[in-house]
Amino acid sequence: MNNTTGISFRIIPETRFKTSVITLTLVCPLSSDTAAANSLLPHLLSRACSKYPDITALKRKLASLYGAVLSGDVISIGDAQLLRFTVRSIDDRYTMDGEKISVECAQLLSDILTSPPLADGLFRSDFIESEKRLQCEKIDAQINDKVSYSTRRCIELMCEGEPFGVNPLGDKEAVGALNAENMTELWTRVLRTYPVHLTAVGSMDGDAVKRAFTEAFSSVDRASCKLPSHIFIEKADKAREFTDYEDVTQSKLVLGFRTPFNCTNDPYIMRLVSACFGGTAHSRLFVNVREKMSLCYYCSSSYFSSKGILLVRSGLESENIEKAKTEIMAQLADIQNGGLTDEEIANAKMSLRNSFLESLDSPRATELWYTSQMFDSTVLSVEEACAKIDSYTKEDVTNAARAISLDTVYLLTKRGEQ
Amino acid sequence: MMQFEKHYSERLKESYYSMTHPTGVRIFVYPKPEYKGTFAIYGARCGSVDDNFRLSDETEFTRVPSGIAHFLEHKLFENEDCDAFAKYAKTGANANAFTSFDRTCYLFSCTDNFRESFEILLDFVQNPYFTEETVKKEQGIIGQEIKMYDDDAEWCVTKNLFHALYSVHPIRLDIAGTVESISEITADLLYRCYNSFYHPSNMVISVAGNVTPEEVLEIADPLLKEAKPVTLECAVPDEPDEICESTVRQHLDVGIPLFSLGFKDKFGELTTAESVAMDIMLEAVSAKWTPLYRRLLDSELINNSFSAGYLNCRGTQTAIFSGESHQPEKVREVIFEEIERLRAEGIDPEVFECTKRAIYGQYVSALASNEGIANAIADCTFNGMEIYSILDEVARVTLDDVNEMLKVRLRADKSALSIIE
Repeated sequence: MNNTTGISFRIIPETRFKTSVITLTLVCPLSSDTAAANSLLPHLLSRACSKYPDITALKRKLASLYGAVLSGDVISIGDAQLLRFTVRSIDDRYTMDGEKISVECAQLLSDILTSPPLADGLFRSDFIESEKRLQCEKIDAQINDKVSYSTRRCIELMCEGEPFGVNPLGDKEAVGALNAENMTELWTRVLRTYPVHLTAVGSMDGDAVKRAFTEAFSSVDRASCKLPSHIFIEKADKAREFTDYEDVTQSKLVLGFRTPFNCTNDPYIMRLVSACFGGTAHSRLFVNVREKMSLCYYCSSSYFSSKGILLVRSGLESENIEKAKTEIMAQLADIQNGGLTDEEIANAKMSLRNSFLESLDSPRATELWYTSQMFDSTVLSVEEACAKIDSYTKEDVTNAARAISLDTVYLLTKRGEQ
Repeated sequence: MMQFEKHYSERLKESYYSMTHPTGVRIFVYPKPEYKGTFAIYGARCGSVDDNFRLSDETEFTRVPSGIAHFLEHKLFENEDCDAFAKYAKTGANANAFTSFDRTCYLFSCTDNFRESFEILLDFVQNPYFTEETVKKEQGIIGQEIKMYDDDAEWCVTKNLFHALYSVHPIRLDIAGTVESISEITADLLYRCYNSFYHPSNMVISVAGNVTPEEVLEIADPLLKEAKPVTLECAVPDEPDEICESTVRQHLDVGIPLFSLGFKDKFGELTTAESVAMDIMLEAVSAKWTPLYRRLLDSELINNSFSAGYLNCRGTQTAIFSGESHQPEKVREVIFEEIERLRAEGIDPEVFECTKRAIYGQYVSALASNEGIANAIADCTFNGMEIYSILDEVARVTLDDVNEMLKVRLRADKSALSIIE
């Protein structure tokens, strides 16, 4: 539903939960030119607003609202970068003395976005320098977690030349170039031109939320906004191999596959294939690479519908890498040859159904359910998604698996071991 | 006739039910009929610190290799005919387990087929099956899990901290053990551990979600096995008050150093009042709305990874401040200074008031999901506490309580700094 050009509201009234969540998402293309600045902006804005003009004052106010969490963050979905601003709080009926906090929480979310503390019309330089340092430290810290680092590296290499390959935090050089002028200019441009989605889940007054945010954006001259488009590569011509050497005890293997199934056509069939292949504790990868062959603690697959990409990830001894790769590809080949049993497919369907339904019991999971479908041609409810999964036959699964092609093999290992 | 006791919260307008089953297992059910799903935990009071024990009819203590509780957790899933994951596959449940310092919990969540999934849980946890062959196979898998943690800076900074604080208490042991220690595990040792610790009186069932207490009991009652009464004694070594080393460092491949500043505070069980006062004290000292946080942030000494908490484990309490920093020793200096200042001047009443509200809100939020509720009940039960009285205590606690706690806690001479760089 659009009340203002380029703003869509999704209000989901719920009285079942003890907490409520309002998330405002602004969308733009992911690009190495703008990633750093876009990534800094939500953190900069969520520090303060003109009513609570520094981090201590705002955090103190939020603490007094029963620990309400007001955060700004950035994620990427496919080739897009999403700037997200969220307020989460306990429901009015659970405060100690009956205080009503939900209206104030929603107002604070609106205030940080539209009413930051400015000095001569610009963001404060000390805030910007502080956030630049924090962002650089986040970039430095990415290598600390080897599982997520190896995933990020595989995506960077596999999708070089595609926006998805860009690190959403940007690089330190780009961060260094940010200042009060260009960040203020970005903020006004963001408000004016980025598509905005607002999702609210909880017992708050939905109409009041809509009014508050429509008013907040009413003074902004919003041009017509479009969602960024995505690049889909349906098939890999041949597999490329990359190795990084770091001082690690355990090697990390990431295999990147291309598929022709994505959010614009049929993402659900590939979700089912991924579940059968490596998405559960009864999947081919878990049962074979981990349990039968004892090669690893984790070996699983994840599917990125926004790009039509499947990743298989595993942590293992360097001497077992070839064995594991061979087994992973053998399991895929078996699935492509129709090797999945009816029982395996039925079990995977049940598993997916379970995870879909569980998201209905959480305000955050409900919000993410819809946000993650932002680029889908058709947005499905949980029940519709369950029915879709249920409708696939073994032939559908086998045919979809046949379209999977290996694009990239990435290895993070200790030097001298390969 | 087995009766559940009802516990009602005026604050949350909700109830849960508890009973001690004739076999000795404690059962808790928190009905949430408005939710789609259910979350169930079957937990044992058996963790990595339980490495030296004897039964009442034995003279000698048995010391087991470190990592055995975690190994046992992995192996329990495997039965003679098939493993529990294969059974859960047919019900659609999402199952898992974890081992920590003082407990092992087996759990699942489901939105359908609760009966079948709960039967699977009760069955495989009560029916151990270990052979030398299956033990050997698991050594490979757990060996890789250990190596994954060896590269995990957050895991290592905490492990090293406990080494620095505790000289003999088994909290300093790796939860998963080492590749060497798990190579000493045998099927016999696993059975011995199981038979000693997985006694019904040592077990807790905690279920939250779209289920009634009657349903839970109706499924569990015929399946819960009796066991002969056993008294288990764990040897708890005499841990000195003093710490071992005030600073420990390890090199790992990190882009920014990690630190963990721990305080070895007190031995003895924590009461509910003390537990709540500890939570509020730590947040009132260091949360994002405090002068300490502002000073550390403005001095570029910390980033958003900074946090504080404490571990309450079998008589030990360890308060920990941790995060990423290029200058961990300077962070320690500033934290020590601020603690001394607050000891002398007292915590600011405004900071106390908003901290109290924030903690109250966090506790309410923790009871928002089935998983949160089931875990909170299991956690409280293992620690001798109760969830609703914790909320009441937050509402009651005073600034004086927290200032009194700060007078005796967080002593610099009982602290250690662990750094990964």
